[in-house]
Amino acid sequence: MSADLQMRRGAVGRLLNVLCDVCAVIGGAVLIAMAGMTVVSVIGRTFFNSPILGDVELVQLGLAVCVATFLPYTQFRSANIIVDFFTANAAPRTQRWMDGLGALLYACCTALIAWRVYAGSVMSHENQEASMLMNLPLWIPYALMVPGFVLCTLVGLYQAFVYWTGSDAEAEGVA
Amino acid sequence: MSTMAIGLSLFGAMLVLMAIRVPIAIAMFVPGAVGYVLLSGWDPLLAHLRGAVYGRVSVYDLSVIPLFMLMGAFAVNGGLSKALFDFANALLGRFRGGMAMAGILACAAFGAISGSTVATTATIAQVAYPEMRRISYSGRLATAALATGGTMGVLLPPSVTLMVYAILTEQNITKTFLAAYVPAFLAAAGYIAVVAIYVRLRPEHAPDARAASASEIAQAAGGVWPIALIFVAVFGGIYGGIFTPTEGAAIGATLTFIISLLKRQLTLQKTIESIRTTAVTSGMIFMIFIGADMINASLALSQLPNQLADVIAHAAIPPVVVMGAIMIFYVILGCVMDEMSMILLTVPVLFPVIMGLDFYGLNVSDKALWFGVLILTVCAIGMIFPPVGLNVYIMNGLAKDVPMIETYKGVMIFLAWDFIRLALLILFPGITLWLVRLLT
Repeated sequence: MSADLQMRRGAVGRLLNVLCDVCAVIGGAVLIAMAGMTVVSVIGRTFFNSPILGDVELVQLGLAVCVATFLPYTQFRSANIIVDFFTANAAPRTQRWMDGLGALLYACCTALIAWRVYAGSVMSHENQEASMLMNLPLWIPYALMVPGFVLCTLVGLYQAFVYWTGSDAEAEGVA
Repeated sequence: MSTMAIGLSLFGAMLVLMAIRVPIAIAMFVPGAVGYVLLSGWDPLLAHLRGAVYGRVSVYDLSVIPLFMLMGAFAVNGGLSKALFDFANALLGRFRGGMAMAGILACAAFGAISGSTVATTATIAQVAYPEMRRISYSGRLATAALATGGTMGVLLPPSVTLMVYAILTEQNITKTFLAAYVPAFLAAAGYIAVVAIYVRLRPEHAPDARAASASEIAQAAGGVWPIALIFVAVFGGIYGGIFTPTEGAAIGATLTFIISLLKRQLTLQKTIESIRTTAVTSGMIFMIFIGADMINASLALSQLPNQLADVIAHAAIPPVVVMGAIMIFYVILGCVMDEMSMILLTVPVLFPVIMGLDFYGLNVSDKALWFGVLILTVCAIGMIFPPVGLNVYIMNGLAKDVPMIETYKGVMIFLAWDFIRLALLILFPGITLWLVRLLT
């Protein structure tokens, strides 16, 4: 929790905090829209024998976008689970160094994913892949995932920087 | 280096990264990616990742996870837990220890509409714990009963862990849900019996009981209809085959949202708070999914899971012994890991092992359901098992006046029943499979 609070200080921290929060709320809106659309489809199918054609596809595409928008928020809140059993008694300095390493590795992984999902989008666009029923071009959900992963990378880099440069006294003061 | 050796080193590297506080998802992803390069090459990794991440998260069935999370978050913020506890207490308050029993019952009922164990424990504890302390329950019994009661959320549909297991092993979600009910009922009934026996032996832990009048019970019952309605609409529809689990989850989230609005509990602020909770937990789960997918892709390339299954199948060890060993392994693993990572990491390796063994002549699907319920039962044990029980920590955060050692002392008596129940479930798969066979 102390780390979480500390991350929100300074101009960059505040900006990332707002970006992650906005991103997560947009994802939540997508999720609620998916739920609403599904309810309408079920009602249509049950009572009027006319479901929304392609509701399953929309849920799939929506979920992909939704997940990508949730990930940076999770990382910013330091909610990705770590095992602290073995390091519970380590010096705060050591813990911070390790947390910095974790954040940096996180940034590397999400950067790799962002790049590959972008490549997937380009390839999908070239091949003109489209969903089966509604004929939606698949490069769009691919492309919509990229900003989420890029934001993940930025958050990871920023957190690694804060963990490695922030003094222990400062961390204690916040805690 | 043989592929098998690479597979084992991946596993070792992952454990080392986890031990030094690297997020579990990343501790899986990094060795997974490196292993993929070693086993197949850099270009194949790049080609794999181009489609793999999108493919992993754009799965229709997976949408039940954030949708049920959202439903649970609305239920938490919609003030439904207090009504539930009041009703349970009106029913059970007449017995000594009745309020502790009511806490357990309320956990079970709330767990039946919430996917998150943590949310179940915290929500019910917030309303039940102050009440119990007010009428002078001991801190030991009060915290232990609620921490233990909350673990039923792991097993009870729509448990996220249960859904993840079903998706991972490609089991029918509806059947997996059905398999969990009888074992969960057994858990709840046993916990309530444990409370009854405990307060008989040690009466100083619970105050004298006070019976609620019929009108009080009727009044309290009036408060729980929303939860009953949500439960019947969502799960009646799913089990009745009227709609898919995803559709049920969507309907449940929408219904819970509307009911919370009607109860004038849900403000815009709380709606956004619900979205944030959903985002944090879903994000955490999907990140582990992405990481686990990467390491599992590498492990599959290394042939490690198949070879392990092969070795064990030919080792002439009695299958029940193998199962017992796996259960012990899970209890130990549960001391240092959360249940979601445990499932995502171990199931791809251990599932083929179990499928390769013969248990009581069960068919493939029955065996998968039974194994799922067993590992979830152990996961639930892990949530209160010392030295690191997540639910004990949550309870401790809410009940700062009770030392954690007191909670653990109380938890021990419930754990005794947990282990008896686990043994029963292993020895009699029929307990798990009865309802599935009856309704499908």
